[in-house]
This record gives sequence, structure tokens and C-alpha cells, in this order.
Amino acid sequence: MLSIGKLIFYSNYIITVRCKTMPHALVNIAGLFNRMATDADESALWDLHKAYFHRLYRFVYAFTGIKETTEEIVNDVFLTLWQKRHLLHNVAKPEMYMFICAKNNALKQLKSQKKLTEPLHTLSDFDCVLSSTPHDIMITTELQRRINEAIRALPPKCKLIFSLVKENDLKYREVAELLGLSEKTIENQMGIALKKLSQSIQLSFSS
Amino acid sequence: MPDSRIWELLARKYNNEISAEELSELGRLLQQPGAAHHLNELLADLQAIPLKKITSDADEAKSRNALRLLLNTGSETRKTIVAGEVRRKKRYALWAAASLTIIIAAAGFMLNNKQPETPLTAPLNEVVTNGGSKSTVHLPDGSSVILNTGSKLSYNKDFAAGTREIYLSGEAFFDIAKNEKMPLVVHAGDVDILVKGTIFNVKAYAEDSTVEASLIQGVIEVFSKNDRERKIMLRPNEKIIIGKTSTISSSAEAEHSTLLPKEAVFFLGKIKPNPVDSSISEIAWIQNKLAFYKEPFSSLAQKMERWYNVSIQFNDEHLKKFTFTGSFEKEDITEALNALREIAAFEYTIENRNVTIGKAKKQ
Repeated sequence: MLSIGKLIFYSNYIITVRCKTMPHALVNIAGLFNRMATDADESALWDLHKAYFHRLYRFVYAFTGIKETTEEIVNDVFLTLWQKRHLLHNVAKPEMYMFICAKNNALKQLKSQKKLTEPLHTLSDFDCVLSSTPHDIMITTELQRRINEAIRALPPKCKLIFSLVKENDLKYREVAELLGLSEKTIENQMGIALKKLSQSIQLSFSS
Repeated sequence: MPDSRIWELLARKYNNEISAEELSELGRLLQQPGAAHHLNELLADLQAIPLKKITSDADEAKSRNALRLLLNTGSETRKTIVAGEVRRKKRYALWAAASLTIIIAAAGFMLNNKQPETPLTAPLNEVVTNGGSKSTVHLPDGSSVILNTGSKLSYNKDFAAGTREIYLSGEAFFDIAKNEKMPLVVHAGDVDILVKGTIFNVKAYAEDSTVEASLIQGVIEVFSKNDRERKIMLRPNEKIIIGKTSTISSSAEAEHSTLLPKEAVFFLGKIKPNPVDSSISEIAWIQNKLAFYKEPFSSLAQKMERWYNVSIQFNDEHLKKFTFTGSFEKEDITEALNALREIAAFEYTIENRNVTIGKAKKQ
């Protein structure tokens, strides 16, 4: 899964450059949107479902905290995409579009249950750990266990931001827009997440 | 040394959003005792390991099946309906009611005004826009049409029951729902346009010497009524200008004489976005903009006549050849003419709704 050359020498310092492994990078969402919009191609919807079901599920679950409601909301996102497919070729950022649909549906649901106080303050705790896919990397099982513990311990908002950034092709600016936060906040929260994760394996700058 | 700066830069690097300057700054900051080297490796590995899905394959299959059921049977059969869904249905109903009102109003208007008959015997639904107003029409097959001012759109009462045919005089922007089995035909002046599911603009005012079709998305086929054999297929971002044979031969100064050689009936061109604001002049009217790109004054004046609901006369034929590029949005007719006067020398007078344009007086 490791793409691109592992090491690049930058000045006299070693900076590892690797692309985020994104299985979805193989999925051209804009292409799928286009197939749905112009050819009414149902197989494109199923490809999209395959690539995004679990990601939208995690995102929506963070808001609702209820399995059944989450399923319904996510299904509704895909249903709406299909029913309004003729509008999809105008979408500039398809990935953002899906997450915004999912968020709007989730907020509507919360509102109907009169739970809408500050959705980001009442996030549900959702499971978020690294997959145990074996990799030719430095992280051993023990390290991974510690990292997972650290991720679990992150505050819900921080965890949501971390998972959104990690799992998707979203820029900080886009995550900020999606959650109604400032870009600075997103960067701060990501900084906090990375710091906590590093500390969990006793890496620190303060020597 | 601010610790938070390092984490901020590392966060940015993590998402590949770091600039070259920031990367070298990070390099410098990391040149201190500690485990910086390993940290970089760690971050890279953290990027490389995906998150574990919180749903199983079974969850995914369940969702797929539920979705398939919804697609096949429509959303009515759902036992539980998400709150948003209900609201959306209400909104659709509201839209349907609104467009129905427009149709009824238009039909009433038609009866009172005895408009010329369309070449059809079947009962028609008609929508007419007048005096600077625009209208959005939602067709029974899910297509939508935005009708520019001074235009008339009609379609069979049994539209989408067996055929999809639309008659247009004036200008409209079409967003046509895809249906391979039932192509849609737009009849505009001497031209028929065959579509299967696309987005395009048609300009076919009776008083214009040309019919224009601009394709934004998909494919359309354009036929001339006089020559059914001749078929032209348009690709996205192409436009076709079709001269009305009668007007072209009779009119001494054909409107698009520079673009359209007298002997040619078809002219194929590209849709060129305006370099200033990348607006596409062919469809700018949808966003309440009157846009023009290298447009001769003569045809711009025609557009302005419709836009501002005025009539424009030229005292000097020479002025018609001026060309302009730009767009009007909120400007009134005086502001618009003054703006044009910044570029080209001419005088104008406005009386009631009549504008007369003449040569600038020599200073």
C-alpha cells in the first residue's frame, strides 16, 4: 500500500514523504458523479456506496450516536444522490458534497429530536483505531496498541477531525467548512492529535 | 522554541498542505536533540495505516439492500422516514404547486391575448414571460427549464407519456432529465434539437436572424427543419448558430455577418468564458447577468432591449459595428449606457422607453 518513494533528502535533513494511503484515491468520485448524472449509471452509485458507506457512517455516527438512525441517514444520502443525479455534474467538490449532505441530514435528524444544542459539543464517542493490516513499517504491534489507546483518549471533536482528515481526501480548509470551525482550529486540533499520539510512544521534543 | 509551532507544521505536513518554506522551517526546528527523525517516520507510518472500519461487510450489505429496495419501490414503502425526507417532499409539492400556478396563469394570459397558434393540434401547456421577468418550469419528467424574458415555452399535455416535445420561441436554459428510451425534441424556429439528457441553452427569438444553441453538458443533435438529412452533433462547450435562411438572404447587414458567412447556414463555435470573470455569456442571464463577449453593438442593443424592456434605435449605422466585452448586473439602463460610453464615443437620449443612440458631438 505504500506508494511513492519512501525517503527524499531535503537539505541535509531526512523528511519522509509518502502519500496518505487512501484506498479511495483509486475511486474517481467526480467520474462516478458524472456517470450517474449523464448516463444514469446505477453501477456508479454502488461503487460510490462501496467506497463511502463506512466513512459517511463514522461521520454521521459521531453526531447521532445511534446505529439505526445512522444507517437511515447514510442510506438517505445515497438515495438523494441518486434521485438528484441529474444535478451532480455541477458539483465542484464531490467528496465535500457527500459529507455536507450527510451532515445536513444528521443535523435535521437531531433537530427533529430536539437534540440540537451544539452538535459539536455533544458528539458521541465513536470507535476509531488503526487497522491491523500488516505493514513493512516501524510501528510494531505494541506501538500500535499504544497509539490506538491514545486515539481513543482524544476528545470527541479532536477525534472526529483526526478521522475525517485521515480517512478522506479533505483539506483542512474543507474540514473547517464542513464543521463550521476555523481552519486554524482544525490545524490546532490536528497538532494536538499528533502530539498526543507521539507522546503515547514517548516521542517528544523536550529533551 | 515554541513547541506548538512544530506540531502545527507537522500537522500541515501530515495532510500534504505544507509549503516549501514551511518545510524548510520544520527542518530547521527539528534540528534539535530529541527523536525528531523518528517522529517523521512515525507520522509517515501513521498516514500509511488506514483506520479500522467501524462497520462490517454485513452492515454494508444491509445498507446496499435497503438502498436497492428504496430505488426500486420509491421512498413511499419506507416504514420510517427521516425527518428531512418529509420536509423535502413538502417542498417538492410546493414547487409543483408554484409551477402549476405559473402554467395556469400563463394559460389564462394566452386565452385573453389570442397569441398566434403553435403548429400543434394536441392540447398544450404554455408558459410565457414578459417585460423583464423570468420563469422556471418544472416538467413532469423531472427536467427543468429556465425561461428568459420575452419567451414562450409550450409542451404537450401528455408530455413524457410517450414523447417529449417542447416548442420554444425566445430563450431558455434546459436541464433535461436523462431518458434513453424517450429522447426529447426542442422545436425552435427552423431548428429541431434532439436530446437524451443534457444541459444546454437555446436562443431563438422570432425577431433575431439566427437561432443559437449552446451546449454545457452531454450531447445534442441539431437538425434544420428544411434539411432533415443534415444533422450536427454538438459536444460540451460548443455552440451552433443557425442562420434563418429567409432573414439572411434579405437582410443587408446580417447580425453575425463577421461570424457567419452569407452562404453558410450553420456556424459552429466554442463557448468562450469571459476572461475577466470567467462567466459564460451565453448563460449569464440565468444569474441575472447580461454578459457579452466581443459583441457588436447591434446585437448587444437587441439584448439590452429585452433586458431593460426598452426599444433602442441607432441614428448612425457606423456605431453598430463597435464591439464590447463586459457584463451588467444591477446597473439600470442609464448606468449601462454610461459604462459603454466610457469605451466608445456615442451620445444617447432616453424618452419614455425609447433609447436613441447617435454619433458623439465633436468637442
